Amino acid sequence: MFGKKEILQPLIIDISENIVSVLDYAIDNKTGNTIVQALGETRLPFGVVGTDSIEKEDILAKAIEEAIIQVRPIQDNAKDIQTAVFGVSSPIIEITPRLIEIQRDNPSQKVRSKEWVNTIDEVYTKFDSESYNSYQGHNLELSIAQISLNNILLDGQEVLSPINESAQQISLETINTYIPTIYKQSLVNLAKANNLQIDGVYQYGYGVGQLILDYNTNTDISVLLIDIRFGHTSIILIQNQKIIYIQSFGVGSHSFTQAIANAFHITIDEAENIRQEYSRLQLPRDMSRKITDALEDEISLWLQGIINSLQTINIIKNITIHIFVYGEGAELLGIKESLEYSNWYKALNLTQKPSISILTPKQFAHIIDITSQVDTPRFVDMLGLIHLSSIPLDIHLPYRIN
Amino acid sequence: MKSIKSLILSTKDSLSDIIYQIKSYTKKHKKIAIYIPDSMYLLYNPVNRELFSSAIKQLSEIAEISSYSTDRNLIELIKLSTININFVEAISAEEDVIPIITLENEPYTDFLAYKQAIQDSSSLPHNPQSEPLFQASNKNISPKISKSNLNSEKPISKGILYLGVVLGIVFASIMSLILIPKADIKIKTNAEALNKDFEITFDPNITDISSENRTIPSIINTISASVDGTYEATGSQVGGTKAEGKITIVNKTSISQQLVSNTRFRSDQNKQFRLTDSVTIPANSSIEATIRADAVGTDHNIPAGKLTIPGLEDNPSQFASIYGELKEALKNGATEDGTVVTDQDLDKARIDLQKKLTEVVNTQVSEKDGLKSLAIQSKLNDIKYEGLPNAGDRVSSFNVKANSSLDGVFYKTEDLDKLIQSLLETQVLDSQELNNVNIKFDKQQEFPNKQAVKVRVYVNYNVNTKFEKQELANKIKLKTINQAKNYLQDLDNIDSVEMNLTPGFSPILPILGSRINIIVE
Repeated sequence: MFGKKEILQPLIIDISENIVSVLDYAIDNKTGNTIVQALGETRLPFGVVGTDSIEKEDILAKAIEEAIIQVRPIQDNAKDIQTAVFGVSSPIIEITPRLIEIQRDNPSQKVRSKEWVNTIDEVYTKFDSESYNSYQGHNLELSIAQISLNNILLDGQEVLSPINESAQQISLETINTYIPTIYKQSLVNLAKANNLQIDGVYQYGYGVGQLILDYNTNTDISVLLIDIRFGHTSIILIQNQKIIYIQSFGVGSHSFTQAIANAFHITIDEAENIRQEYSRLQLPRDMSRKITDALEDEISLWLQGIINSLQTINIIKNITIHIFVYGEGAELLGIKESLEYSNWYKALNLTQKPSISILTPKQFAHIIDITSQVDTPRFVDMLGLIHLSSIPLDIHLPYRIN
Repeated sequence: MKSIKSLILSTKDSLSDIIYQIKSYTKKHKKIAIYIPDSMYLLYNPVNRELFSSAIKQLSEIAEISSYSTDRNLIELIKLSTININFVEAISAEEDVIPIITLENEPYTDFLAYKQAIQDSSSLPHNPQSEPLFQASNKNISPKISKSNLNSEKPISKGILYLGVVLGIVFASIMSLILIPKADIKIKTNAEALNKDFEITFDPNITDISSENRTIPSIINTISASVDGTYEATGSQVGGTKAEGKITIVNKTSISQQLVSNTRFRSDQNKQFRLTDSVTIPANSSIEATIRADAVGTDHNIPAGKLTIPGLEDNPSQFASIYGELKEALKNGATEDGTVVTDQDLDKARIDLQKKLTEVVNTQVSEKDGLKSLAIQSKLNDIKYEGLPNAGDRVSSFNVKANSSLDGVFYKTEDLDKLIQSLLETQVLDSQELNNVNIKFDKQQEFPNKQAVKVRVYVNYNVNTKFEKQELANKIKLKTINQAKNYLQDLDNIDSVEMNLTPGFSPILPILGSRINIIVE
């Protein structure tokens, strides 16, 4: 009765083409550790969620509701408004750096918190009101979903925080995430249908990148994050302590499952089981050999996608790179091996072969999973969202969708 | 026959789907036209577009691929990847949108037509005219020759006769070469021993197996058992026993009467008994009480009758109105030493009956009405005893009947076999077969009441290469022994091949596949 009321953290919602997952977490006040308290999941029938769009909002809303009930069973006296964080990622999403310059009326005055909050509001208003044209060149309407602060410059000088500093001009370098407007509207509708307030919509790669950046003590190496989600693969580079979004392309874990289904004329569900058992080396030798053959083309296509993506940016050539592979398709036999045992990196003129490992939730010592279910590379994306939703607000300049 | 196949991409297709479709088409067709509709946003992504273009370039080496789109922006972007792509006003499966080439209908229709054609050809009635010639000759020509011999008006020349004999000998030789040789081939294969474990849910709330959810139905059943046993009383009583029994004490007065313990009762035979416990008999009423003889011995075994209370003799009216009635003769008074039931005897009987019950239940529980037990209650339900005496009862032996029940969860073994088989079958190739599937459970589960039970099931099984014996026989017919052996030994998973030919001197295998008998071990 007189106990301290536990603060409800936002629910973390991951919408994939085949499953919707909801995580509930808490922050341990004594240790600062993140406690993953509950996981709820609902399988989605084919065709409810596409790679870039939500096809059947009503079914998805119901699926989210079912997953939420698993993590926070309905209580009669529950009156708190629940908040939620959604993740986004797809080849059509555009992540682009922006620069905003704000001239101050009184340059001699120090920047106070109130002014800083107003400045951020101005930034929101500016980005919100402008119409964005796709750099990919299509005519699909895109809207802002996330604004991440990469740099703060006061009169051209980089600072960690502008508070109590004086300057004529505040320049903000941001990384903006644009998603299809129709997808953004769907997220709003889904939140409304489940009585949720949207706390944030973040690009998954940015969340994981920030998580690695905040907990990786070895700052001398570059880290390449390869996230193999259901329908696509997304790549992020952490170089010079900055997160650089590289690219996404349309080969994901489902492509591998589909290749098995095509080769053996079996259903997707059967192929999915086989894919997992193949990776766990549980299949007969002959069968494994056939699956290796069936996957050869698809893995080559995927590797080519990685090379093509990395060719679009300037990687520092002579620095040690470590690759973390995660996501639903990370554990497929042949993925890590294709990066380890081929000379793909030579196409990028890298002087050293990058080291590779599969990233799992267990590698984050401060995240304690009491459900014992959040243990595969698939959940790393959600941990990134947890991290973004729990770190101090001024770091990532959260933008809330109304 | 139209020569260009059209492939209309869908905005719902993934990049992998698109490339897979193009690959499939190039395997079957020499010329392909790919149509990219509007809103194909996937190809606006530069990496996707690069992968798509690379695939087109690569596949253009094996087939002639032409690309078309209604999206001018996309055409410009794709052209940057040096892919030749043209603009079309509209994509329609009905119209010829490209006048230069003749388009076939929607690709999936083509595919279905292709499948149908295969089915049609296989369902055609078998045409005997297409049988090997020598069979037709046997049936039709031979009788004709014979008939023509009989009816011929011309004399048969000797040359023709000799030719006929020679042909006959040759024919007989050929037939003997075809029909006599026989080969018995024993092939020993290497089985691949594998094991796997699955989490299976036994659910009492479902009726059908689901291999997708890995669930099978379970049934909750109660097993009842009844056992009995005769046990000896081991307690001894030295110096005889006092007779003891129940009497009814009658009070016909209008006031209640209290009688303290040890109140005397006397029989007609002047035998004296005492009340074991104090009682109060209400006015004009009667109660039951126990009396015990004052002395040991059989002489206190009195017949049924009236007992007076000597203590009331001073008050004649009370003496007449308050008395005892023995309804059954007393028989338990004894002069000599005897045996009585002890607490230990009772415990022994209970333990033995419980053990017997458990044994009976266990024999039933492992299999009941063709069902196997999955989980049973760890303890028997309340045991009911009939004929259990009290400690101190003077008997030499006693017979007790006990009955109880146990609840258990059961399942049909064929359901589990069927589910495991279906799960394993997805993991073997068409050219393989499953053998020696051996299913084991982790341990017996706690009784779950009406909940579904998840059990880890461990399966050991063998995978063998499946051989189409007739096909193999046809492959090796007419080969020399060494050729046939080498051929068979080169197949996957062959351990050894043994061959036995009849006649033994035959250097080659029979001409007919049907004369080659293959046994696979």
